[in-house]
Amino acid sequence: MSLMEMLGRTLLPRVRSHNTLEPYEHRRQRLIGWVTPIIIHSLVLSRSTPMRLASLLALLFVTTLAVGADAPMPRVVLDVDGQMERHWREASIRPSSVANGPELFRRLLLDLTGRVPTAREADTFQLNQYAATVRQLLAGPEFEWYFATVLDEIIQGRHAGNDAFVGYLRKALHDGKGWDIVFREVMLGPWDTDARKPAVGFLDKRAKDLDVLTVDVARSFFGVDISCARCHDHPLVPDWKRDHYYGMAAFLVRTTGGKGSITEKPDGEAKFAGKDGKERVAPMMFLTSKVTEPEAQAKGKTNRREALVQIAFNEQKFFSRSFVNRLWDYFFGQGLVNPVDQMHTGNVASVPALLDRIAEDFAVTGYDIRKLVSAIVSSRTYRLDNHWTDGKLPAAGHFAVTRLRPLSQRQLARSLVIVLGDGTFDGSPAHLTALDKQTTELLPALDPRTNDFQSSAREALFVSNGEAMRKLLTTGDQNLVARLAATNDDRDLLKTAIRTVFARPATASELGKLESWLKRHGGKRQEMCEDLVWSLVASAEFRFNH
Amino acid sequence: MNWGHSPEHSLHRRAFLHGSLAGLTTALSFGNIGISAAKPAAQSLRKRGRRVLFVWLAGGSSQFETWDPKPGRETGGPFRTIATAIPGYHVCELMPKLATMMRDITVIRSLNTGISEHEQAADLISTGRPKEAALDYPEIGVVLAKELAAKESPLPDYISFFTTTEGRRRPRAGFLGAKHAPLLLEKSIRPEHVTLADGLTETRHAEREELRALLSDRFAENRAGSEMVNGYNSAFQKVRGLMRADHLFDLNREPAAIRDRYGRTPFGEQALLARRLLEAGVPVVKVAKGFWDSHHDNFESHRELVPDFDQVLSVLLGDLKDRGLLESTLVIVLSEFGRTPVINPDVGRDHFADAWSVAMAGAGLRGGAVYGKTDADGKTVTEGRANASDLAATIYKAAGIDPRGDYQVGLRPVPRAKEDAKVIKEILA
Repeated sequence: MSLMEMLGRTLLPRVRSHNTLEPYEHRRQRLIGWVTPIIIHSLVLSRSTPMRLASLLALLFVTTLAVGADAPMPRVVLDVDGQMERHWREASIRPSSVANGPELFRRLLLDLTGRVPTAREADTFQLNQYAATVRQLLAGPEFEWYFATVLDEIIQGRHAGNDAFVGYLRKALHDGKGWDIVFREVMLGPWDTDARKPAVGFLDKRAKDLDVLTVDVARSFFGVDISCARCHDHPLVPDWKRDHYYGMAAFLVRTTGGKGSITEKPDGEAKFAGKDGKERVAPMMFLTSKVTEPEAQAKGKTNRREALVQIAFNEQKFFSRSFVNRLWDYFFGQGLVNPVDQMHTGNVASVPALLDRIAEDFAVTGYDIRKLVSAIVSSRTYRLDNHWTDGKLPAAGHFAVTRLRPLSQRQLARSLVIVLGDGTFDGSPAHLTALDKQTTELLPALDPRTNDFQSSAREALFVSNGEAMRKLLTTGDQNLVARLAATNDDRDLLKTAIRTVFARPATASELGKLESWLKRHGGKRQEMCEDLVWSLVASAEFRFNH
Repeated sequence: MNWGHSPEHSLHRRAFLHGSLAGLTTALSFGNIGISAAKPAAQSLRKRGRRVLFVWLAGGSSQFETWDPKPGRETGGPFRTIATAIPGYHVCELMPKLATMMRDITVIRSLNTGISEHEQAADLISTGRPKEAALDYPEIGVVLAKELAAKESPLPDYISFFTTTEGRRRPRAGFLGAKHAPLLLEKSIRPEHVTLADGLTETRHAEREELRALLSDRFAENRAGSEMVNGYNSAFQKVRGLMRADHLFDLNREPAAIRDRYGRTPFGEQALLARRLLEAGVPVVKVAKGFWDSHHDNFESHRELVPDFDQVLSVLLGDLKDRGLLESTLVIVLSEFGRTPVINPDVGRDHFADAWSVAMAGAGLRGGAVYGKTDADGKTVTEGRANASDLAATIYKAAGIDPRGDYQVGLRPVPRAKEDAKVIKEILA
């Protein structure tokens, strides 16, 4: 990035109303922090007068910038490794080494684009270009296309999968909207333009049931499950009283509508029977016990969801921590707070300082989703190897080794279609749309990814005998099996098969074993390749992310 | 092929493979139980765990036209009642066969379950709990499948039929997860994907699975989280068992006389299949009979539905008893709810959850017990009022499972039956 570009970006303010430290302010400080030493350096070392003069002028400019800044100098933003390394030291854990290139690349592509690498991509990836690869992926269309479905699942939970809502999220990612803007548009709209209209989908699915709405808002955006507190103070969590449940319900009790139109009733209160049996009207109270006074709202001009959005931003802790934790859960198979909807004082983060720190920095960056994703996947923690040979496996909450994660239905279905296909997939929009069509039949037959994943016989039966699987293996004269069958040399055949399915080079020992397996097969070449490829795509190496 | 790290595993796999191939030509057995239709195997079954069969009457059957008739009352409808094997207890005349078997049947006439909307009520009755926004409860059948599962069984723990179009529901595994989800038979009474794909031979199928398993085992070495690979491999190990069990789903293997007794209706065939599966060692089976939602012409539809139900259930119970299976098999007839005492202008009965009946038979129960009462018009429960949670707790108890046991869901211990559920001890053996 050139200095001019950087200045341009730095000085372009983004309009925001609720952040204490605005992003452009933050960028300015960072720029000052990094440009000043260079200028001073050239001032001191330069021999020519014009150069010294230029440096002096530059220093003057930077000083004016710095004088305008009243906030403290910024820290390194979104640093995962510093905190994590301190944690490992304190817990006397030596983490695993960093994963090898092909394994890491496969992991990264699955997580950011929802599919395995093609053989071509796997061939060209270089581990020393990891950072550049992350940048490219995050800037590319495939990230938006796929990652919107990840956000959809975080927001919509069991109602995920609505095309229009996913479309809204794709556009939001494309436009670089922060998580805060997404939250605001989902809760408040305006649902006016074609692009923003589908954002109503979250409330739309829930408006007719206040309990569902209250519980889902708290789970999706604040990482807490307060459903127990509806009938009684939470038995296990001192944080959650009935006041909190009905306090949250009070923000949402006037929300009404459905079928695409959500409005705010002029009145309506959340009421519950107190211990004395008398009915009480619950004030609008956030999870932090902070209350919004009704008179603070201009009558008839605003709605209670507006108050909720405002208080969520002011009491930033829940809003920011919850999303960071949800993404952590997505990338590591377990949240820093686990389960992800149990963020309360009785269930602290396994690396407490880390979650707080990233959550604060996430807010400071303007809830920039790409930056958060980039920080996570760039960290050493994310890049750790999946193998552990060093005695007893450390508890999952230490994140000292990468754990196997099952592919989601979507990741698995898309990866199957790509590796078994004709090898031309290039991530273009046309291919992405086609991929969605090709996977519709596969998706419901596969096991969904859960934190407590268990494989079902149903999926195994489908993979073993399903007609859709057979078609993927046998249809087309340019699909993987056909291409392999046309390869004369067994070794070449095996190398291509492994490279295509596992996105890594074959090892010498497996080549030897598989070669003798081929020799013993005895069937026609086409059948032999079919059986080999089936065994590869149905194996655990393909089924899991590692 | 052996990658040199686990000869035992490989040997075992070979033995397994060999057995499966041999199994194609010889009669099969699961454990020590012969599955030929003619040979009951009571002795070995008695020693084994209990089994449960759910009979789901989708749409809501009428208690008036079955277990709790009110003859001569305004709410009673046109049918008469008949005496049963239990002195003093009468059922609707549409169930003559079950009437004679009442000593083996247990009836609860005093359910008040509160919810009278199909979906919500079906959720309530099949999980035994009110819905909770944040926790997805498993169906009672799934809980039973988990608890009654036989270790190392090649068969699924739960098989659920549902081939009628009305009220088709997939049992929810909820927080217990996919491993315990039932094998669903929705499109036909044979499971999906249990036959070889076109062009594939048994040998190829077995050999590629052998390679798949070896590649997976090799991959899993020293991996953090490799227990998931074990689970994945064990799911594939079920494949061959299920394919071998395909003949279980083949009713042509039953003598024609037996098929005729059950009747060649969808419900009759499901019931006969259920018996074959229970006998082979599947711990939980669910069958269903639809079209009970009689808002119009309640009496006409029950005149058609109840005799078929009477026929099939009586044959099934008799067959289970003859084979010595009834004492280890709990049979439960359930609906979402009952039907209204008031007969509507369309000569129908609407949804009614305030006072209705279910019937049960077999394991853990006191045969012939008739529990609870409703008033003369069947409008309210007057004695022995029980809710959906009480019913669930009673089912668990009868199946030999502690209703008070906990599951750990995240940080939260979740009791198997709802905290305040009361077991109906009066109907238990």
